[in-house]
Amino acid sequence: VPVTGAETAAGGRGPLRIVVADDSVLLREGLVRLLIDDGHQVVAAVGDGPALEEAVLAHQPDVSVVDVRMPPTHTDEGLRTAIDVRAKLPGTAVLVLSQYVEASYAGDLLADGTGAVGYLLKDRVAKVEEFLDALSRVAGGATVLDPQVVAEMLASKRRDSPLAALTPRERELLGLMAEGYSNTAIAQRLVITASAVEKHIGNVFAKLGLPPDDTQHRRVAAVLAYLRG
Amino acid sequence: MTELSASSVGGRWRPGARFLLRTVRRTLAESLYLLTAPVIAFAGLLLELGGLCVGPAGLLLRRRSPFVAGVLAPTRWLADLEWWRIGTVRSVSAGRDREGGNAAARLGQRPRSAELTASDPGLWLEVTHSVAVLPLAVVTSVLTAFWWFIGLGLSTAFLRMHETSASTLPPMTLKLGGAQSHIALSLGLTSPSERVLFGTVAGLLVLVTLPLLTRVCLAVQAGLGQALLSDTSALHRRIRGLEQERDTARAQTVAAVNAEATALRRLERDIHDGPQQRLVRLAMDLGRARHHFDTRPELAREVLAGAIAQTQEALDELRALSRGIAPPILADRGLIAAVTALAGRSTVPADLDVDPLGGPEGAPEGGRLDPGAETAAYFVVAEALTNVAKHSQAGQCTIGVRHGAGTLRVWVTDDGTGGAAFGKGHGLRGLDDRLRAAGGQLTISSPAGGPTTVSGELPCR
Repeated sequence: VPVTGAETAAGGRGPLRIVVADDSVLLREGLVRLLIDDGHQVVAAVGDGPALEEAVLAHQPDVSVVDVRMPPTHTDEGLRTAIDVRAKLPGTAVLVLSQYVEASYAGDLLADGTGAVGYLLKDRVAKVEEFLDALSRVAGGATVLDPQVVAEMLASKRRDSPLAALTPRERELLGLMAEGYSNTAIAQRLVITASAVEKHIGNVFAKLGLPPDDTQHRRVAAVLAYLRG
Repeated sequence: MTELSASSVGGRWRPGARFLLRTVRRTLAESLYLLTAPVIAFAGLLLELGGLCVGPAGLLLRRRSPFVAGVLAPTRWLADLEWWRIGTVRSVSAGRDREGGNAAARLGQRPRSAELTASDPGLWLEVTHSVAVLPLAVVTSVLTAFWWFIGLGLSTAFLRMHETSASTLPPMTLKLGGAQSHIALSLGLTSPSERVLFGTVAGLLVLVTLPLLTRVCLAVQAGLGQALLSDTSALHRRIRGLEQERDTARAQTVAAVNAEATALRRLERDIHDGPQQRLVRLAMDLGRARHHFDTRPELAREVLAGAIAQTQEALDELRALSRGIAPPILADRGLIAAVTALAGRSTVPADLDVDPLGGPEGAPEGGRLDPGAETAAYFVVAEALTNVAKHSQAGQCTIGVRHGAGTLRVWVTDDGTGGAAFGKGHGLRGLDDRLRAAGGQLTISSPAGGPTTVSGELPCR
């Protein structure tokens, strides 16, 4: 049953089965401890791309936490493995962590349009509650982008983009959607009613020419449009 | 106009005599040139053949060009000699008094490159000349000798025939052709005096045509020499030299850009893998500590203790990193002090073999070296020591520094297993770029089984 980000974020979270992939033993251990402390189950902790793929295919975890830069290439191995794995196992939730974020990387991750992806700066892990929350939202199928990616995209909008038709309020709202906030959370943040949020979201979908199909898909599509600017 | 007529009136016989004198002198000079040519050509060919026999040995050498050039050096000397001979004979035959040695001036110094290399087309033209000139020289010298012999022999025949007998001789016949068919031309000349007269006249005729012959022979032979030995490509060579300089400068720029890009990429990687990771982990741990602060204080305390350790390590890593970018001791106290510090930190025991010319530790008397050269030299030592520690399995190494004659040389020798190369991952490639950017060169000697010597040489005031 597809669960929307809104519903998951609103609902409580149970213990998740997680695969952790990071080539740095230091960070891998840190992450594993943090996740175990919170009652989650780390089914595998690996250090490179091929091992990640193997572990995900073998364990089919609720979510994988993946570092972008890993051996053997030490470039964007983690990202490419995440995309490969999601092609083989559609809908597998992946939260990509990186010491730097690039909007184009986020675009690559979201390109399959199925959601259940996250892309965050590693620093965000320090805000443990928010990180764990984002993790469970991604596990639930939501799209969570780092505020920095969102800010980057807000800063560089092309004129001919369909996003140009959005009002500042609608763009702000779309940004929050991209960061993975639920309707309720958005309403709280913008200090408006939930119905106003829904109305705005409806306008955004209409302006981006997204057909009225299931909400989750439209949310992802809207964020994708946003990323493509 | 009046002047000209006056002089011709003043010495009516003189122009004729001068012309005769000049012709004789020219013919003698040209004959001498032509007659000696085969000897020199033969000697040249012999030297060259010798060179070609030794030359193949040069193919075994790695840098064969200088060797081949060295072997062929005598060819060049002979070419210079030939050039001088052509210049001399031309100036004599043109008449010094009239043209004032203009021909010699025109030929002048043979234009050729100062450096002798096998890739020099001039050198190969010289070789071609020495091969081609021998048959020609043989023909022209035989002709000249023959002409002289016949001319002198016949025209002086009367001197040898003073005791003339009155007896008649059979008619003198010139025969052309074989036994089957031939033309026989009977010249008569049955009396000895007639013969002597005929011989003398014929000899004088030959002698009169001698200047023409030598002139033609000289024109052919010297023409060949001038065509092959005068290096018309001198300008081209100059252009090529400039092109080479430009290419070197360009390669140096490329090396500099590469070195910088590599260094920056490495720096980024070092920051990413080092302090940045420590700080992320630190943030993670602090987050955990706060998360559990109220519920599980003992866990929070434990995590905080770990966080303090992380902070310390992050600081250490930053320190090491800044040392890797621009070592403070190098900036403060110079190469020798910095290299001494490197030796002190080396995990493999390192001896110092340092020339005090570079300025002993901190002493300003030697003066500080070029900062660019100092930095490049420092990194040669640093990288080499890293490699010694990582790959060599050495028990001992030596760090050397020498400075003199505008060159700074640093080297690191170890007693390890050898086999170091410009391969990826050893950092030697980047180091090579770095040195070339500074106008220097990195040399690695590392046979399997050791010892390994990595040395850098670079220009330095």
